[in-house]
Amino acid sequence: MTIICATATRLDACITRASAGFNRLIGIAILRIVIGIAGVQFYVSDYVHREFLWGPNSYNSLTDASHQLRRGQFSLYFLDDSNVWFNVVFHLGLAAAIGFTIFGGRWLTLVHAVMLWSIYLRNQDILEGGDNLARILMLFMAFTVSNAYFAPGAKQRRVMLESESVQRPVIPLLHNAAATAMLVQIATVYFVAGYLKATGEIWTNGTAMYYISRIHQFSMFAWYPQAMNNAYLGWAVNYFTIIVEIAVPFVIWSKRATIRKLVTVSLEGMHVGIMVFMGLAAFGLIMIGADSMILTDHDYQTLTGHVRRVTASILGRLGRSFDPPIAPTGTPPMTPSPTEPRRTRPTPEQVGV
Amino acid sequence: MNANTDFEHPTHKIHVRILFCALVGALGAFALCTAFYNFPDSTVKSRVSPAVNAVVQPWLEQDWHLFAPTPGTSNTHLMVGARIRSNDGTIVETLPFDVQYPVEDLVKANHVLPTKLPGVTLAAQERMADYATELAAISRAPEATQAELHTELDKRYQPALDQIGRFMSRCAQDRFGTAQILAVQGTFTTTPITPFSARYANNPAPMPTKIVVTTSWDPFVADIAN
Repeated sequence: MTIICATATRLDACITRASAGFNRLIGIAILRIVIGIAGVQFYVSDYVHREFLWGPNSYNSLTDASHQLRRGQFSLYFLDDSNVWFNVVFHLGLAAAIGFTIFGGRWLTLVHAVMLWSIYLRNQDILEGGDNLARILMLFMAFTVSNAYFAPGAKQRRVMLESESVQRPVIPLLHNAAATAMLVQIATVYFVAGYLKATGEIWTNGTAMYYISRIHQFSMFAWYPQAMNNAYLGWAVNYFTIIVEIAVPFVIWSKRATIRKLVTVSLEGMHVGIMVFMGLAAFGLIMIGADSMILTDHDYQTLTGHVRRVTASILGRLGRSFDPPIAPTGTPPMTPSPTEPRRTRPTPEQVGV
Repeated sequence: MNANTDFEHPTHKIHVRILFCALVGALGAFALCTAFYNFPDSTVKSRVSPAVNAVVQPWLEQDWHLFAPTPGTSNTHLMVGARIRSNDGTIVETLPFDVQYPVEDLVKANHVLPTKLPGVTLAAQERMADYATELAAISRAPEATQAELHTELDKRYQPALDQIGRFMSRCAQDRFGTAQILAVQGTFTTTPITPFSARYANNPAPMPTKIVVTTSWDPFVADIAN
């Protein structure tokens, strides 16, 4: 009986710890926005080609596309072969993507997830890899609070969540479990990507970037392959990528916030590079969203504070050279206005000496 | 009675305890399964794979090879030719024209909203490269079994071949407009990239283009959306 009681006490302590707050609210909110934008971009970028890519008269017929489905998978696009149904589902998907980006929330996440899975499964030829991560993250995101930041009513929602974590521990428990699952998935992706690169000859001998830059589809600028001709630059980019990717699982739960921030910023830079130089915009966006989950809410707060301080310092220096100095709050202005009495140095009697 | 003992903390409720245990179990199972699914092939992996696959597929499919591709060392082309009935009734075959580079260049025209169309030719290239590999394996099989193996291969690749035929039909229609197209044929080629070691060579010899596979003449499909 004592053992059962002790176990229950320990279990309750774990539950109390696990439901004490909502983890990574800012990261999930950024992920929501970025994945949402990637979703909208997916629909909009091929709006004029939509019937060719996903319609009933697509080059990829419904019958052929259904052969690519795994057991248990489904897509709303397969329910009917009429053009009207296709257009209804397509435009509902676009509306859901926009709504999800702006408002977030569980129901919109669920609707967007169903729509996104449907369009991805309708034509798997045009997926870029990031889509696979997006659809898994969307499933977990349906259990999280994705609109506590950067959404209408976010401030009130955060106040409500504070009381909810005490009154209804199920909600923070689900949120935190789903957030952890998302982090496990992100860590897995990066570790596998880093491991595969580290064991691939073309990556370890430092020529991968040279060959990638010469593949016609992924060469967006004429000077990009020229730059990758440089053996040192290509080698450095290769090894930077491998090291940063393998580091992700070790920094996600690390207590060293500085390393976590450094790795995250490096990853974001890498994915911006992929978007710009390789033209993989949707892939880059989804990965930037995933990267944003690596940082904790505290990391974001300290980062924001740091950015504010640096910005204020830069603005202050710029202002000093062009504008008259601004007196700090609480101190009298340099030149008193005519209505104010002129301040003079207090006498020793006035200060009570 | 002490007032403190009257208060039941919400976490003490039995359904919260059950949910917590279920979540911890599910998370552990998910983490283990994703790890095993992504491990390199081994005896242990093959033993646990039925259970792992049951968890991961189809909704948590882990395929991250696109995140660390072995970069291609060649550029690919898809050349499409068409059989057209001319006005005097004779049937002519057009010269094959490249459809891959023009499609890939569409992305460069719009960096903000890049089209996904290059994925179509890329997927076709991958499938036909696999098809060509299997075809080469069949050619090494005993001659008596080759016809049967070839039929089986075509049957397996039927959806892919059908897709490629429909795509080529659309390309031919875009190219030849109102002409009466009867059939289309695709030739998949690769041109190696200048090796890294030869990147600064003066007047490097043009890299030779190699045919990977040529499809049979597929009947033209007229109703593909533009």
